[in-house]
Amino acid sequence: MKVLVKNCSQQKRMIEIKKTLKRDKYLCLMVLPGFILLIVFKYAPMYGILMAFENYNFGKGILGSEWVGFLHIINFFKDPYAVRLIRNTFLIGIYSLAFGFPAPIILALSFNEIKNRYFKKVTQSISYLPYFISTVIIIGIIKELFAIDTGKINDLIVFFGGERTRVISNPAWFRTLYVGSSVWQSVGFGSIIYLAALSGVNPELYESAIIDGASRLQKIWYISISSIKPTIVILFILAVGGILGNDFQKILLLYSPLTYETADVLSTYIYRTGITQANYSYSTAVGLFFSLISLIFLYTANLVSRKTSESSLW
Amino acid sequence: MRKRSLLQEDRIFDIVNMFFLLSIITLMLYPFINVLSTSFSMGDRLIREGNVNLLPRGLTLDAYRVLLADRNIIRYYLNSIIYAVGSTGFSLIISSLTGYALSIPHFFFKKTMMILMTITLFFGGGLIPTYLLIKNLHLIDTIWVMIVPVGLNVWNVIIFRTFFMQLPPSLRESAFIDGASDIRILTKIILPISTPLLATFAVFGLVGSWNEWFSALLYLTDNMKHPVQMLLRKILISLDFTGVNKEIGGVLVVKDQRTVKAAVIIVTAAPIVSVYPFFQKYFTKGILVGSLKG
Repeated sequence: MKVLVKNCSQQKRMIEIKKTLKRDKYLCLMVLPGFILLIVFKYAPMYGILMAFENYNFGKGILGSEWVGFLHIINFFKDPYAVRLIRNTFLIGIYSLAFGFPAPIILALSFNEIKNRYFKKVTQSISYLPYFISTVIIIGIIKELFAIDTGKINDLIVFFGGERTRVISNPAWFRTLYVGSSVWQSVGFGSIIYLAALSGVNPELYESAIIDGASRLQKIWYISISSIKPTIVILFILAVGGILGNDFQKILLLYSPLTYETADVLSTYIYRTGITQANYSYSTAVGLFFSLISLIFLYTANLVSRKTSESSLW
Repeated sequence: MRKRSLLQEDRIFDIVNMFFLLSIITLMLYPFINVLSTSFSMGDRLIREGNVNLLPRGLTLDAYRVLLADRNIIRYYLNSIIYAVGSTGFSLIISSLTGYALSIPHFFFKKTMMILMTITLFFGGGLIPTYLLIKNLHLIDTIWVMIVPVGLNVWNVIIFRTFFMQLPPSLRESAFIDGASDIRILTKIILPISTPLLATFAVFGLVGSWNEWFSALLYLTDNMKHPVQMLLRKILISLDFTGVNKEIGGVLVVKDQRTVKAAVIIVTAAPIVSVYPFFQKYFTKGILVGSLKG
């Protein structure tokens, strides 16, 4: 009797499953290519992380290579450059945040206060443009502008009585160039979202403020900024969470062995040791370490935001 | 008395604000003007008189002639177009299909797929494992490596999905009653409505892949397959001028590298800049759709 019942309910299940599959068959087809891409290009590499714990040999593959456990990670920490790399990664991230985060907000506020619609539109359009120019072009322009012998900036320095200075190959200037060009590129585009939030502010608030005798600056501080506070907070959380994610491509283009002192970050080191030097296992190990700290940052940032405000990522 | 000083303060603020914005705009525009003028300048005048301030030093098309005399540049341009259109088109199809399927409430695979996708937003294989995977798949040095791997853009899928979920269910239901299949509904009804979203993603996708150089550096060893950004990188960053002849017909045409560098910048940025006014309206609205609803 029991066997019969089991078969009956099993059969029922099979019919249910078949029905669902039949109903959703086109949906399955739609999802299939994306699913394959996901597995192949996003999940398969995760399996490759095992390389970090082996002495990976391309011929032997992942399963055939010798297991060494945490050897590579420990070697990384023993590396005299490890401290420099971590320090640079953090500093570049912090400077980018310190200058790059307020800039779009200030620009948005500035746009918001313009009364002439034509002027507003034109300046906005121009400000978005740098965002669409490729990094290669921007770094190329920087290299031209700051060149020691023919660069415009050095021309200006000489004009004001100074001496021609090395800028591109000077580690002391690297962070300035990096953060400066990043802000130049993204401030316009970044202001869009704040401007959108600002346009949603109730104009009656401003009017009542005028009646109360508020000055221009007071209006900006107490009304404009307060109204977009939720937007600011959530974008700040996201920014802090991603603080270690510097624009590695830009650094790769802008740096040189002369500027490694301040320019070399974890991602560029991973690139050099992995691709240029083909030290696969070591590079993967450093990469894993890097991903884990980034995750911790993101998680902590989200935790903080959940405790302090209503907005959070999850 | 109070009123008058407030009015004055208002006007001062406006003037200061305007100057502030004007200086920002100058800072943004000046590099382009400088480069544009340099590209039309005569090399020897640059050497004698120094850098361009605003206007070109002499007017000549020499730098451009040198560039176009290099047969390869047409090849690089074509490659860039193929990669841009190919990867963006492919990605749009995959992302919208996936987004649509995931927006159907009764789809049994919905939750699994969403979780799988969101995980990849926070954690990934990393540079080396991905590189070795591409190598193992024999995709190195093929045009497909620039088109296929980026096919599933998780952010786009999520935004598509949210957008589709916001559409009134009656749209689908009435089509079902009329006997349409899922695919029919998608192509005839849903996609036409989503054109703003599609256009926005198309714009960002095209610009992004036009500007992409790092994948080419990593995965394309054959010079002939390089996109235009790689030529840029060669000339601007590595300062490698081999292959770009400074002579035409044996006569040294370009006296100074700066003009050629400037010309190659203009030639690469030109497509983006010239199409910019047209697509500008798309992305300002598109971002809002994505962010407000996402």
